[in-house]
Amino acid sequence: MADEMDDTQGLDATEQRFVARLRAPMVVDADAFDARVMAAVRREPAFGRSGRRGARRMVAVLSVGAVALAAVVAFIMIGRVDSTVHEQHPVKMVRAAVSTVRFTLIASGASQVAVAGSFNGWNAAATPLRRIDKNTWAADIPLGAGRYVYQFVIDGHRWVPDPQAPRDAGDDFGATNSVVTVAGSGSA
Amino acid sequence: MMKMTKRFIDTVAVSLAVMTFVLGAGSVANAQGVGALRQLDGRASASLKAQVTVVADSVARAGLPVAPLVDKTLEGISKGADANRIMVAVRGVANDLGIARRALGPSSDTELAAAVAALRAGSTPADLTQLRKDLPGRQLVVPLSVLASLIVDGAPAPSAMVAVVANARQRNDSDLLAYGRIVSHDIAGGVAPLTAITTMHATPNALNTFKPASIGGKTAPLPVPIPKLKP
Repeated sequence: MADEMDDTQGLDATEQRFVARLRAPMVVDADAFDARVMAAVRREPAFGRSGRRGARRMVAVLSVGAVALAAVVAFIMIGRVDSTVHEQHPVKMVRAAVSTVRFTLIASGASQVAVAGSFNGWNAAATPLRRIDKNTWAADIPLGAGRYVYQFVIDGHRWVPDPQAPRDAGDDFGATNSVVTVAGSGSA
Repeated sequence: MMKMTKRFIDTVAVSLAVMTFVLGAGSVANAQGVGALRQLDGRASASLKAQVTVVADSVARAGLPVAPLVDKTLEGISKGADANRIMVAVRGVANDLGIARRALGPSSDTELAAAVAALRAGSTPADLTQLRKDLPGRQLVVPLSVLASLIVDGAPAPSAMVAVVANARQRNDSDLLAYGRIVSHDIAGGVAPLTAITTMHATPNALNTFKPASIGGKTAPLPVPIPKLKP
């Protein structure tokens, strides 16, 4: 206490009042303190409710994260598999040269002729032939290197193979397709 | 707390399912499958498209092209085939693509399509493997296509193989195609297929340039050349 008195000797009156106040013994009512603490706890939202809300938020975040991760992994996988496919073509590639192939059909009595095949999605309306004389129909179609199968379609409903072209094996639908093969840059 | 854990597990499971779906879709996308399958929009029923997509997915996962499946589907639709028949055909193409890839090894999509045609004509997977071995580094679209045509025209597959390999070794693709056309012309004109593939009556001196080839150590039987037919 003597030390305390000594400590305050250099202070003015106001400062000495503050020090005296701070050094005064504090009376704590333990029961009242507990009551105040518990009241404050009760005022807070229940743990379960806030916990569930937090968990829901966590689940939502994790879900979004999982989907984002899936997208990233898928993107990486697509790139990886894609490059694998490209590696499966070590043999000399045919140049993307395009040749114009003339399709002709002699069809007497036809009012319209089209050609449908693997080069036009088997669309019977996509590639009509033009009449070049009374019974002869023709169309020039640019095709890249490869093997194509086709048939002529007369008057929109009658499918016939090209009598001048090689035949394919059965078409799985009870008919026979014709074949046109366009050479690339293959060499002897 | 238990409910919360269950909900969390459910949500993670759904997320994993989404991941699997996205990855699965990725495999089809890889082989330009999505673009190819898009051709079915407006032409195939939703049910048929769904069935084709399932097959296309497994084909794409195997690194095989999806376009031939879509092509077969469109062909069936245009020709008025029912969905069941189309699916049988599509599954057949998928199966043949797998056989062709195993037989040829690394190959382009156009080669696989031509190989499927050769298989359907009557070639064996061993023939395809041998063709790849006998014509190393060469695109096989034309040789396979000519092989298929010769067999469809009636030539025995082993003899057709000999003829195609021998001609492919001496000719470029354009000339090999011309050879196939000449043989077809001769067969259509009444020459026996086996004779036509070895003598090529339509071209002067063709007989002199044709040399039988040995395939896999075996020489396929060739007919005795017959005199040139008069036009």
